[in-house]
Amino acid sequence: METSYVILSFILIPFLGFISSLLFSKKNEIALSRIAIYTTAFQLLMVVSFIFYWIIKDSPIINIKETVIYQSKEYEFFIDFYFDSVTSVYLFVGSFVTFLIARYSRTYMHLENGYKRFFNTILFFYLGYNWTVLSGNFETLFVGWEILGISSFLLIAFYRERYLPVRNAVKVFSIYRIGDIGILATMWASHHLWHENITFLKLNNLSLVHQHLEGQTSSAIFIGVAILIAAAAKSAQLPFSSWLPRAMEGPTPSSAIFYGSLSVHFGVFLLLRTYPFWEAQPMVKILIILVGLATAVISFFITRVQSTIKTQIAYASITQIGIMFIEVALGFHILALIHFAGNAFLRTYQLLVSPSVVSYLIRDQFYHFVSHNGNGNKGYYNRFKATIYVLSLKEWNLDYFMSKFIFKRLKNTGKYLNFLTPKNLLFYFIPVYFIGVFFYFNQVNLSPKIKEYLPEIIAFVGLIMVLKSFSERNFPRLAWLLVLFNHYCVALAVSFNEDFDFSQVLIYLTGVTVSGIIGFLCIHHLRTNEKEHSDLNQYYGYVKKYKKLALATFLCSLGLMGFPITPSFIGEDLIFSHIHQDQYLLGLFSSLSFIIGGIALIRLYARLFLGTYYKPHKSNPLKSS
Amino acid sequence: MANHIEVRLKLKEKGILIPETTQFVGGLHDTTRDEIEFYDEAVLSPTNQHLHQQNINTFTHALDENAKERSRRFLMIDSKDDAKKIHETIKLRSLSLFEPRPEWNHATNALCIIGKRENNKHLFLDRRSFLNSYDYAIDTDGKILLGILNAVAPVCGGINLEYYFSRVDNYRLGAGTKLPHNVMGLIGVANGMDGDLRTGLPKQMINIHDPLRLLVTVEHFPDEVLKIIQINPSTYEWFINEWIHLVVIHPDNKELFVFKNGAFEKYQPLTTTIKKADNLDKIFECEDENLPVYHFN
Repeated sequence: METSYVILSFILIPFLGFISSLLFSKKNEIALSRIAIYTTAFQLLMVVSFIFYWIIKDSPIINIKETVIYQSKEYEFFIDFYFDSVTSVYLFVGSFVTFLIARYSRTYMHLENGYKRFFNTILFFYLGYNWTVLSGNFETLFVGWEILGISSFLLIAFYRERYLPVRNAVKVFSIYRIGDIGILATMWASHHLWHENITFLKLNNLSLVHQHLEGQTSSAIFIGVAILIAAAAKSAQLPFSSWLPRAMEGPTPSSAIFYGSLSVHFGVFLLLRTYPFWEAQPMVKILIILVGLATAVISFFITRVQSTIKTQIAYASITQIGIMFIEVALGFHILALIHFAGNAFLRTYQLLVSPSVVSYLIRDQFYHFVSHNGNGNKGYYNRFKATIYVLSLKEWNLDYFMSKFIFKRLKNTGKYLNFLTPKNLLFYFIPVYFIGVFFYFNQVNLSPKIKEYLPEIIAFVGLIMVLKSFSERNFPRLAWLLVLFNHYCVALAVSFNEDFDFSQVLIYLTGVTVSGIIGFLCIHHLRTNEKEHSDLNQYYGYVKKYKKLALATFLCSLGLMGFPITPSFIGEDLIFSHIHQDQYLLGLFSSLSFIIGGIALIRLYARLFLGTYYKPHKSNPLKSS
Repeated sequence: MANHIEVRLKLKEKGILIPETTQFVGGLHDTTRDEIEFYDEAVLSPTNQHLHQQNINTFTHALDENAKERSRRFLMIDSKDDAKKIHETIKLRSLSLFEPRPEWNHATNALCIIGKRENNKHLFLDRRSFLNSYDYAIDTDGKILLGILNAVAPVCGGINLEYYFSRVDNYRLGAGTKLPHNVMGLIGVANGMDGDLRTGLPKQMINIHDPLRLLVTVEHFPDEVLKIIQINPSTYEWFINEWIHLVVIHPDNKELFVFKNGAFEKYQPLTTTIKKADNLDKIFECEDENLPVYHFN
């Protein structure tokens, strides 16, 4: 029992650290940095001593079922923590690296605008990190996963007065969100597979897993692929690799903590955690190995030709993680853990000394410079080499590929919906929705055929709304409301599915409605004050003028996208569990609209509040800087 | 080099006599760490070895004091400590990976004095001046002054303007904050992966610098100087365009002439007295802003 308190304290310490770091004024650098250093140092001490104790006790696997947050007869939502060797390694490396970073940043960030913001975000990240590492079921993991996504958005966009960091932060956040589809799908599919909130502990029970997966090969493969997508997005494997170098926009220590060492290894963590799930599926295994191998080879070449030090380190890290994927798939888990720790420490070190690389390299060139004569372009071998060189220089067009085939597509689809303006939205969608509600209360009169397709149709309407919201360029309030409406559509669509307690819908909708309304008022306020300059065509950087409004809008965006600060988060999971196993389309529509809704909200927030303040009242950074 | 017998012989032919007993010791002053490293000390004769030891003691003391004086600008160091202790922390600081402001380089530069060192030896200039020893009396045809000005205008003036513009608009003319910088090739730095290469100086180098144009003072006759600066057009444009200010101090009556619109005008300074610094150590401990010119004792 005592051990469970210790494990819970690993969550509590970062949480208290984060909360107390919010309380100090931004002028009080000493207090802020001390909180970060003491929090991480204390945590490190606790972790190390606990691991010793744990090893002496023969390293038992510990599972703590924390609190049941919601319970109905067929469904239980609970927070669960779990501790085994994977947890211990991740916990130790995380505490150690974060402690170093906190110490490093104390001086490094001195006198920088946003000193407080930086330490707040680092501690928030730390909370998310520990939470994810200790989580014992998918729901708990997803909470931590979301925290990591938001904190990385905040750290990349740390220099929010410049355009490029903000744009790249939105980009990275979008790819993270795409990865989240994987987790959502896993959660949904495993609900139906296990008929409960499966804990990672139970996954270790091989015969149980085997028994459940018997005859469910397609489900198992579906889950395996979903997990792979989530892991590949988080760990910047193919085809998502291009986000990692673009994330190198924050101050050096934050790049080190995120992209060099900790955050980027969560894909490996997810694979290690869910190994029993796909262990028996050779298809999934081969797929993982292929992804790892392709990434390792391609990003090796990209690393070799990178012209900047930080992107070089980023791609080198991706290469190693590709190899880790292979190790995990082949079952060499201890090796993968050692590999993870080594890579994390090495990349942290390399990123932290990266500003000094000039003096090292110049000295090296001074003594060892050999001029390069070029190989000419004769012969297949040389031509092949040149081809690889140019391809790698262009990062194998990965970034272009992502934006052309995914985000451009989404935007173009949204463009077809340009006929939707705030006014005629009332004429099209609100009636459709109310017809839906009308049908819901008069279901008896419906022919079963219509009833069968109705959930999909309504969910599709919701998806169209978020697509429109994502591509909206003129009316921020409209974009905001569309996301809110989408939640209502999803709720209605699922309501057709089966009879369940109305309180579940209520749980789902209260959170989004409250944050939706407050957020709408915030944007409305901005809109009335800045009539001419508050569309979504460019970045306006209003955070400079409206600090509190920006914060409120940000929190509301989080609430509206189902971030675990409102009950909507639980409701979302509840609603998803009511999507039937054979309703792939409904599942697809609602998870897509959920994901794109999140991206649309962050895009909206970024365009209104981040970026270069458009009024050149003071010196402003160039757009391309 | 000057210890070499053949070198000494050649010098002797030119009339420069270095006594047998004189020996030279090479050294490197690391201004970041405030350390002097001497080379080939073993060649010294016993007598010189002894003298050298005395010099080292003087140097060590001076370096400690210098470290203390510099430390008033370093926020993480308590300047009230003993000079030796401060020096140790400064050495540590120079190795620190997480110190984005290792040294202030030329920050706060404001003045360039070309003249006899004896005339300003009594002044405390707060490390803000470039000092060029120059004696107008031995420079009859002005060639030496021309040589100095040819260097001073582009070098000191260039340094000064680099600080000036980086401070005035750090976002566009300077390099912005240094913390997210990413080394690109061995060409320069940029923000992140796809930002522009940055020009100018980062914020961390200029935040104690006040944007002032360099003031060059020359101890010579105004007419002579007027002739000399016009010889080289690329030097002259620095003065005529007022990229740097030029003041000539008349060697005989110490009157000041400021260069304006191609001619020297007489200038009456506003301040007539210079404060005496009673206890500079005390000032170093308490002040971290720019200091006025003081009179040593």
